[in-house]
Amino acid sequence: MTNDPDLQRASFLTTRWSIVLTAGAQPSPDQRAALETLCSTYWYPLYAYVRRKGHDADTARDLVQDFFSRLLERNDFARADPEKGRFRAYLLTALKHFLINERERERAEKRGGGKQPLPLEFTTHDAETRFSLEPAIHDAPDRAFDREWALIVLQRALSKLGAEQRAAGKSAAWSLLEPYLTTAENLAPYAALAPQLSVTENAIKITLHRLRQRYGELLRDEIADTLHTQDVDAELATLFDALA
Amino acid sequence: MPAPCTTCGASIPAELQHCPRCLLALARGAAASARAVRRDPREQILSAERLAGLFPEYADFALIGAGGMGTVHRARHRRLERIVALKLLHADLAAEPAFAERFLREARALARLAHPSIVALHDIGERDGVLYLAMEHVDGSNLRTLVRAGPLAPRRALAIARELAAALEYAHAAGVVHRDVKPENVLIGPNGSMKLADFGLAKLVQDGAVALTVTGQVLGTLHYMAPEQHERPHSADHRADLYALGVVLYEMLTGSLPLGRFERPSRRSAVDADVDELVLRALEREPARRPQSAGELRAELERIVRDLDAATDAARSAPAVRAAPATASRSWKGALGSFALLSIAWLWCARAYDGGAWLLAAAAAVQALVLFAVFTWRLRASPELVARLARFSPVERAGRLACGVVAFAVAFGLLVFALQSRWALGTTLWSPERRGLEHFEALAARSMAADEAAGRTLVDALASRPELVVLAAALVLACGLGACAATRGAWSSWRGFWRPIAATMTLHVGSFVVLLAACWGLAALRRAPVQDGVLRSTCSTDARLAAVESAVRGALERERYRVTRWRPFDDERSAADAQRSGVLVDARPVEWIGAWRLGLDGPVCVRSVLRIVVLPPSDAAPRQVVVDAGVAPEGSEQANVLQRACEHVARSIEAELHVR
Repeated sequence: MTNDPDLQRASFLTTRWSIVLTAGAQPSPDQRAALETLCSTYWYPLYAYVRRKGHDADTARDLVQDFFSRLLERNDFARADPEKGRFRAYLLTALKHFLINERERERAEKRGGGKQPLPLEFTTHDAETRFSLEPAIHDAPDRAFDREWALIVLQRALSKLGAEQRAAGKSAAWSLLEPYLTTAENLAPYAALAPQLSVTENAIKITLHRLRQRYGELLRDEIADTLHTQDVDAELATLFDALA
Repeated sequence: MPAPCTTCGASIPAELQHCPRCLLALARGAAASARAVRRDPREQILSAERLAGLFPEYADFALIGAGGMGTVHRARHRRLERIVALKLLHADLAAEPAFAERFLREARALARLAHPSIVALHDIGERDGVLYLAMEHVDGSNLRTLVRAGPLAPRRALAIARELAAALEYAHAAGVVHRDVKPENVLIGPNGSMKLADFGLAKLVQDGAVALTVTGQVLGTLHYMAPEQHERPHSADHRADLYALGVVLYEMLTGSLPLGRFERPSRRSAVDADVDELVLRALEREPARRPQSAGELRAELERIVRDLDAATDAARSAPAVRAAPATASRSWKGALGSFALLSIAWLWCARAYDGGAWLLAAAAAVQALVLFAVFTWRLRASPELVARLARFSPVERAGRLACGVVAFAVAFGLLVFALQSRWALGTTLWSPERRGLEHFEALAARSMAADEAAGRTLVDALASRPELVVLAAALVLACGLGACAATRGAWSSWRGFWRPIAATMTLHVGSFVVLLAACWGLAALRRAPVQDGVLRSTCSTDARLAAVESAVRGALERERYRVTRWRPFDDERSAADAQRSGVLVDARPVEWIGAWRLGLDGPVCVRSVLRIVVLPPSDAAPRQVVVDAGVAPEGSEQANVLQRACEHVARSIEAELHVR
């Protein structure tokens, strides 16, 4: 678009997923790092999917580990594929293929492939605890996958916002105001908070307005990181439906 | 199963503690990408070579500002030799095709704005992905730098606000809403003229899918945003500009923002209460309660500036003549005080003169009229008061009303109690037998009740109760002082300070004079001693006694009692005497039990009574009737007159009955 380097940098797509996709034939350290970050962030939806498919906890853990190893090993992202626009959709499709192939193979022989597994925070116990807390009504595996995905995105944006606030020295205000992010119903009125924070009620409203706005921005960021296109809104709509 | 969200009904996962759908909805509402917010604006500054390449018709580029929206360069148009301000929008904006299209479309509306107080738009477009605006260059400062140095002189601030309102009026008529009126956008030329910049850009930005503002700037702008702008951005209309204008005017006058329970401008700047009212109205939370158009605001500001100029001229030509305060008294507390005082006086008057329900009703009606007139007069005279009342919440208003009612009830109750303790004293002496003489007893009872109620004229009562006069005077004074306290600060001179006191005093004294005149008039109308079977207390003592005499005579005649002998009443012999004679008539002063003492050495009141004992023809027990002739201080002329009158009646009855 321009030959100005500043402008180029500004308008360039720098999401993690696009870094993974646009790297050359040889995997660069950047690419591997970006993919590792993405995978370690979004492993749980895959685990939930495999569990819903009927595998037991240990098998599910092994399968997901294997899947990630294979993913990093294969490095075939450069191949054109409309599905690749979204990391979420790509991951699910790849996992499905992987599971079909795996069924036809001897798992023990291939498992690990001699490669170092990803340094995931992956203990079967934690994952199982979480899995057992999930409502069983969302039993379709695809649906469970999308739902878990959405929850992770939301949770990450929330922790980022919290970290930002704490870094800005507003941890007290954040811990008080966080519950108000989505709704003030069933919570103490703003007027009751005002003296605790020694600000006016109006200032609380403004702060909350800003927090909500900032959360929205962070969330869009988080989602954009998993997209190669700029269609954050379409992805938002999909996740919104998944949460019904 | 976790509880569902109260807003959308989605289930809330335990680890998130928020409704996931509501959280996602926040991202839908936020049209911003965090990347744009985090970016340093300096990254966006284009080099001079690149500028020259993009804009070959301009030369002499100089960066004069970089903000959240983009950068502003001063440039000279080569052919026209015109200096322009070239505003380049951030590249993120150009990257959004929909925004660029809309930007160009709406910019056409902006380009049509031609007003001396609006920064003119010369050119607009897109060059190689950079959206730009070429605007009139104002060589000067902006209002922010002026305000930062402290509050502006009222005349200057009001004049700037008037120009701003005129500019907004023009733009609104053309269908363009500014949406981001703030001191930074008010440019001040070297000759002091002002120009409003950045029309309508805020709307483009808000609606666009890209954030233009860095966080710090959002902070600054929020204070100028009308409440509806951040609560319901899509319902905000031109009245949001009027709110922002109110904030800017307040800031110009006081040097600070109207945050929290802010002070009225007149407290911190030498402006009149009508400026307060104007600012408060513009800052109303509800758009419907603000001025409805910039034209209205402009007209009001023009009037204020004109008045200010006229006052300044007058002061210059004749310094002795000061502009009088707009109103003499502005306090609704004063009006309530008048109401309380007049009500008590009227009620007392009605009670004392035995006027019955109609007088009470008339008094209430008159009082309501007086209150209404006073209240509306004061309200009209004080728009600040109107604005203040309008700003109270219904709860607060009800609370204040309740406090007023309670205070009034307590004060009124105390006064009634004081009067009632006096009224109650006289009623213990009357204990007639109820058999026979019904007519007489009823007459006597009613006349006594009327007598007890007041006995004398209001002037007599006031003379005998100096503490009431003192109390009334204190009330009047308290009302006056209350009025002053409530409107403290509304005037700056002693003349202004005393005027409301004088007005309140005149009101109260005037109403008392009217009241007394009414009392005397009523008394004069009621010379007939007996009316509808009631002995009037307003007639003379002689007339009352004559009435009693005739009533007693008539009653005895109707009962056909035989009276054999009259003699002074004597407790020891009364029973034996009564056995022998038919009727005993006795007239003597009776000392008042529990006399009302005004002081330790004050006079004791005595009651003069006519006591009649009637023996029935049979052997039944004798009956006793006591007729009360009135109360007066012991030894006073009035007491002597009453005593003589009682004796006279006794004698005449005796004589007549003997004859018979």
